[in-house]
Amino acid sequence: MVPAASMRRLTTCLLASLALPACSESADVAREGEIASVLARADEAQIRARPQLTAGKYSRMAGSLHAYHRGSLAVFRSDFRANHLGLAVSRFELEHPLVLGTGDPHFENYGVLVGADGELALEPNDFDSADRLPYLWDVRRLAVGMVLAAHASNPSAPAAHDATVAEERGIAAAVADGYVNALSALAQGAAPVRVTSGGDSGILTDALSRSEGDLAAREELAELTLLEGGRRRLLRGAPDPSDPSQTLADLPPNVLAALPATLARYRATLLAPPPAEDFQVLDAARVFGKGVASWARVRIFILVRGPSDAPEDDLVLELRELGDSGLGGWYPPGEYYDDVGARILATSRAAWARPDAAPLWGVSELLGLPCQIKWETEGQKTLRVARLVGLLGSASALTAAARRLGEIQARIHASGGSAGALWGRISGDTSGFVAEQAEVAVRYARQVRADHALFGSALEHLGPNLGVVAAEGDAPPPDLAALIGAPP
Amino acid sequence: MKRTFGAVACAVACFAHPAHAQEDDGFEGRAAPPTAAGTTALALEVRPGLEVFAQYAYRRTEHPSGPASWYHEFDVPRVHVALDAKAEDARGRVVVEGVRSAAEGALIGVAGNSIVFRAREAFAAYSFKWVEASAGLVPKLALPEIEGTWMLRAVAPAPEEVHGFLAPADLGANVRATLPQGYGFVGVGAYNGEGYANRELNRGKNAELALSVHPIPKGLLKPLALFAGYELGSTGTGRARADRLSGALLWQGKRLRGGAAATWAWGLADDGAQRALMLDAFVRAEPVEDVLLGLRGSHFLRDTRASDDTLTVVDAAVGYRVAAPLQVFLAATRSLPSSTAADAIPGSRYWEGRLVSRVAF
Repeated sequence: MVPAASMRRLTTCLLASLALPACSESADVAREGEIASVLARADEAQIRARPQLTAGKYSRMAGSLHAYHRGSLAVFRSDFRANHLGLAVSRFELEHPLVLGTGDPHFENYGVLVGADGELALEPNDFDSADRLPYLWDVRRLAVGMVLAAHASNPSAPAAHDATVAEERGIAAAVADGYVNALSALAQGAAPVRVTSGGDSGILTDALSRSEGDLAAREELAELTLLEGGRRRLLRGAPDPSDPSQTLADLPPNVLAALPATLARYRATLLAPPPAEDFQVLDAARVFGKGVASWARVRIFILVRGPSDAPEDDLVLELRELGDSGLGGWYPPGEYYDDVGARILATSRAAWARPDAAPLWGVSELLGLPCQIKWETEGQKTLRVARLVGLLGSASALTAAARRLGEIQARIHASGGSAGALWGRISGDTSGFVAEQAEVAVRYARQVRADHALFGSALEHLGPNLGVVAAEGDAPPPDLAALIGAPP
Repeated sequence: MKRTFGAVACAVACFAHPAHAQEDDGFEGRAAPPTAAGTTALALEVRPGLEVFAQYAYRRTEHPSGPASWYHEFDVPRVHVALDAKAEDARGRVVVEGVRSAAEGALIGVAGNSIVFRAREAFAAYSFKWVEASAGLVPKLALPEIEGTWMLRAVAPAPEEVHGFLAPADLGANVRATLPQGYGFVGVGAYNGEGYANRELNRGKNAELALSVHPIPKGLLKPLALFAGYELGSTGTGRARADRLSGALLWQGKRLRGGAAATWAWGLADDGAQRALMLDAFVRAEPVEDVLLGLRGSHFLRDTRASDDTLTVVDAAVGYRVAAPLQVFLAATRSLPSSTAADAIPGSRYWEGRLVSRVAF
């Protein structure tokens, strides 16, 4: 028998424990902890294997609101599923069919691609998170991203900046409006539109015209390579002195030796593969400091021969490590692709207006890491918030761009034959749909702005890797560690 | 030549000799094996075991604004292999479980998405009279009490585990005192707090206190138990609050088992500000020898900050004990989210039918 005194002590302990929940924590503290935990959990494997690189990624995210938004997809997912911010609630919900979604549509995940026909077109250019999704996920993610792009506009001109921000709701609404208009046409059998001109969008016109100019000049060869004795090689160090965070470094010999086999596998995934000789490796360099969400992933520039031995037609390819989308598993079967590479190929070619919108976009594997390889050229400009200055940062410019991006996103969603189902859900109240998406986007963007400050605070409190401390045993084996590398 | 033969003979003799004989001499004059597992005099006291669920499941998902969809698959929702050992007042236990290699949290799957093994329990325990202390990857106190009353995991896992309220095991230590004359137990534990499938991510440690009382441990009311548990904890690098208060009224009979449990969460899924409630009621009956019936219902209030954010699930099953170690079940599940929950968790409104076998040794 337990003595009565012991039982009394036990009861006292129990009551004391129950009293503790009364000590509540502030909402900000809780949110800061949530952001840190969600991001650290999503990135834990990377943090443990490559802590310097993930620290660089977080540092970049802390540096700007838009970079934080780009790198915090895991928080968006957590909020969508938890739903207390209303991110998933909608009168226009449609969970079936899941559409082909790009998963992380935002202003800087669209850009110009040079198609197999030589024509330039604006297309989605990041499929890291592409998967089968509820359509509202993409619509809302894009609308939020456009509101945040507005907040990044004209940073040095407060009046212009404020004027654009004042129109944030209209910019978000333009995404939904463009989506509705394009979907309406697609549901009635219209052909998918390939965006080859900027139309009323100065931002798109700017990207297309600059791409056209730099494509002809092969500007990337001038920026990334040196021509010595009739032979071209990649630069080392920072190609752009004004951006020292991006650097090129030597690759270890075992990685260089593996590249021909990697390129052979890559070539086999292309729709119309050029001759194998075109991919003869001339030089290769590890790239550090590029991207945001993919900042910590392995990225390599590979200089290959091109169509002839002449250095003028050498090509620079970008190899980038791939990972899971992180956005699958909504309901059974939850997985729709055999592997990561298959997901990238299937989603990109379906999302583009034509499957050969980027004929050198393929996948492969390097020393066991799945990777994507594409042409690195200044003729394929990505939309950048840094260019949202002057007229390009005006509300009207952003509104026009938002509308076009909404149209593209509708085309992507309709690519799997879902146009009818989507239109059936929206068509009864299109203005209500537009208003709802604008409302959610503005509200959630406000949350993201608050989160960005809390994220910075979390880094201060928890350290550069949000509190995950890599142990000695977490280090990858030497050959993989050499491939991953560390920023100089 | 003679010396070579002698060395070979000695080596053969060593391998042929029972392992415990090697330790009996204290490894005098030679190195002990790199691991002592299987080499001690007590190795023969180790008892292996296994539990496997195999099922065919058909799910029809009802989508609020579209046609229903369906999916079916064969699966092995549980693959457990255990080794138990006990000698004198000490015991040890290792349980490994099969899981999908590309489950949530995996960066890249192993060989596609193979079923791979990971540790579920691995601990040493020492009993002193009515107190047992365990350390390692230990079963916790609250969930095993609820799950162990249900005893129909093959039909449905505990909703408290499914939705992240309670974890079945964690890295840490606990002490469990069995109250005399069958009055129940009281236990305390300290754990990392991330569950058995994650590494520790913060300096905070979870503390658990649990009490199970059988108020009338003799006669007809012996199966009646009152359970209360409280866990003070945190998860993630952000040390998100993760406190739990559980209470249950349980009936732990031989032919009839059941209970009603409520668990309140301060903090869930890395959100320390979330407040959530799980209500759970279940009954398991064996009305006729070898015929098993199970019924379980749960109501999950996902977040008190949102209105109408709930998920209700009902499981029902009929089973038959084909042989002592083998049971088969025909089970059905109905999942009903509220409108708000349905938006946040697409695919959560469904019917599911399963044909399940469970074998345990």
